[in-house]
Amino acid sequence: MARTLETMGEAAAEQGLIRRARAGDRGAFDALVRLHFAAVYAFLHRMIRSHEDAEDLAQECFVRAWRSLPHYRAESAFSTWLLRIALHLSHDHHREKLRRAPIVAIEEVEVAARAPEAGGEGVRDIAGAISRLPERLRAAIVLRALEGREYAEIAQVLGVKPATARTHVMQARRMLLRWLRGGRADGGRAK
Amino acid sequence: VRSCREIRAGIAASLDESLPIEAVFAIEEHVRGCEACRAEHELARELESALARIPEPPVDRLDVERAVATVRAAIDVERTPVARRRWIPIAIAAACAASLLLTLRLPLPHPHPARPSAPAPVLVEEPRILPEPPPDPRNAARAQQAREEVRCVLARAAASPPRDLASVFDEGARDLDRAGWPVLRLVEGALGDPELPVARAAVRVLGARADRLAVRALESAFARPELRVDAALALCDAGDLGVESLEPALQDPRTRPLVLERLVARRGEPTVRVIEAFVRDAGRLAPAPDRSALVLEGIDSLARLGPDAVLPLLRLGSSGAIAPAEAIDALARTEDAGDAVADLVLARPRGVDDALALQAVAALAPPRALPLLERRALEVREHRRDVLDAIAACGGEGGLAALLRLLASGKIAESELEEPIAACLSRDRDAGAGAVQAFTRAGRRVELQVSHAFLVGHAGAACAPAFVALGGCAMLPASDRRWAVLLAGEVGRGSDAEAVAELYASLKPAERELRAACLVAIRELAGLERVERALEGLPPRALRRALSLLSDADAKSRPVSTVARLARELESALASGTP
Repeated sequence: MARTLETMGEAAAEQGLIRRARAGDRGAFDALVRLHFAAVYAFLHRMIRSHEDAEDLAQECFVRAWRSLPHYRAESAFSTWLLRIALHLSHDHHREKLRRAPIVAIEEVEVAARAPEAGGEGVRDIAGAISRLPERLRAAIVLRALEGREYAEIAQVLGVKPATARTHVMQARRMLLRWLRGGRADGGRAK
Repeated sequence: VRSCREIRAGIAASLDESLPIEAVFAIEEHVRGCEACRAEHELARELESALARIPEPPVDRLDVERAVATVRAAIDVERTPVARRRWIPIAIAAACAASLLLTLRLPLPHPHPARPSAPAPVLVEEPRILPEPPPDPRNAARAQQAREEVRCVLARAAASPPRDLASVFDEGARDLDRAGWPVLRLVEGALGDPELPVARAAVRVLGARADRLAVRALESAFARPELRVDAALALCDAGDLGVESLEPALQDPRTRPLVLERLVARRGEPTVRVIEAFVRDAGRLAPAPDRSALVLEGIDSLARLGPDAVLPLLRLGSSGAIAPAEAIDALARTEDAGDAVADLVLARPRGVDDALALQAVAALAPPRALPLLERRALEVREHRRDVLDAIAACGGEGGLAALLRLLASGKIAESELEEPIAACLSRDRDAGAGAVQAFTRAGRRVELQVSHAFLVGHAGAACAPAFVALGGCAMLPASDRRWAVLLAGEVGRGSDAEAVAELYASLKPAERELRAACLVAIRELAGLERVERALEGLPPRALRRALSLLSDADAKSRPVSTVARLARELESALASGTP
């Protein structure tokens, strides 16, 4: 009961800002930007691993959010809606990168991960391995394992059912486990 | 019994905390006896550990204000969503109107053409109002006549009750108005009338029917000492324009109390702005002897404006116009300020010092602020200590549960949370028990384990009710529950014995070790007599054996581990009968 009321209060405060922003109140939208910028940036940084690109994309995310605000129907939390926009931007960014330079094929994650990227002390570049996961799986594992979000929210960000979101997370974990096993096997062989 | 394949499939999921606890135990039991699966399990743990070691994005490098400015600049070049939406119905309405006009005006095709001589049918009889020629102000005689007429009407209106004055004047001046005379300008001319009732009536009419020019005229009337009070009150009535012009009236000690009273009754955004400016100027410009009285008068008026006063009071406190403590004190007196203060936790408006806003949240402790503070503590490092103190100030079960959730999140160092949690517990001992029960109801196993570990490491008298609640929590391992109960006995007060006795009575007969720990704790807290009452119904021999074990002279000086051993010895005494 208490938790429900707390959540309702929080949502009401945010809904107030959203309502005012939809009515054209720039101050309220600024408040929403202040409120969510860090979270959007953090998600994008985990997805694309570049401070500058993540910051630029986070700004672009809010510009798009302003543009789409009349279409926001509050079917999901505002933060979830923003992450959905951020995810699209991250996809676009990835596609743009693909156009510019060839990257390692998804199926080669295992093979590529065996390369001694991080070197020294046996520390592997897990973040690098995550960045080579298929985009959907990457977003799922980032949202679940690095941001600790619930499956229902992950599903809304990815635009899939919660069960599918769970499957994506599991697939990502399995791919990362394969990568880890490969690295260990290589390490063993090296010795 | 599950196959290795099933176990391996579940290993990744087991670390996701999404499996039922039984399944997690099944996996853990399997990997103890299966080397291949153990290797897989270790690998999965290694993956989780590697994921946990990924550095957080450099959020502290962000300049959020710059980002806000950039976003604002980018959207400034676009149409606002509201503007776009508003054009749609306007465009539709315009299209409908145009089509209607066309339908009405254009002759419809008719099978039999109308006779050329027949007149076109008149669908709407348009009124033919020919405007009167406007009065010629250059005609001095007529202008003088109009001024006299206005003066007469004002004199008549002055005799009517103040509430009806404006409507009586409107009635009397209707003919002049219809004839096109600028009546309000004629009323302005009456402000200098030697007859004071006429001039005062003119002031009131201008206040009730004010336009921009009338407000200017009222500002001038304020210079006449005999009209000053009327002009000030008229400006209060003259809409936002009039309120904006009240600065001189607020500086004058004769008009200030009346104007403040009228403004407080009026409320609204311009009112708040004007009083805020008055307090700021009084704090900065007023001579020292008057300053504090003026500032206090303004603060009191602001505090009576309800939630609208929250931002101005905090702005005044942030700018140094008033002391931060004065701002918080005024907020505490402001009706319904709590929710508005809570909104500031996330909104962080310009001109308001974040630390002061958080102090205000801590002072007012509105329940709605808790989830916002919890979220803020996780997302923004700036002023985090103030945020945690504000959560502690909100106190109670909710405040402590929020702090423990933050601890369980692993995103905030334990050292940062020690003092706020201690403050929360020392203010309300029962908060610990409440938080533990809330976690239990919600099935928050991780939070319970983290709470147990933290409280064991920081055991004090205030933790005792929480320990008793942890002792009753079936989601925790039996050994953790036993430790919690024994610690409750060690650090608690005599009054905690009743809660332990209640726990004892609620336990199943099979939970013998925990029951024994409860008896040890009751002995520590309230002595053997209370234990005897708790054991009422036990066969005499078993009761004697239990009391003899508990009355062992060395037991009190033994450390907790020794007391745990004593608890095990009690099992055999209790095995012969259950009260």
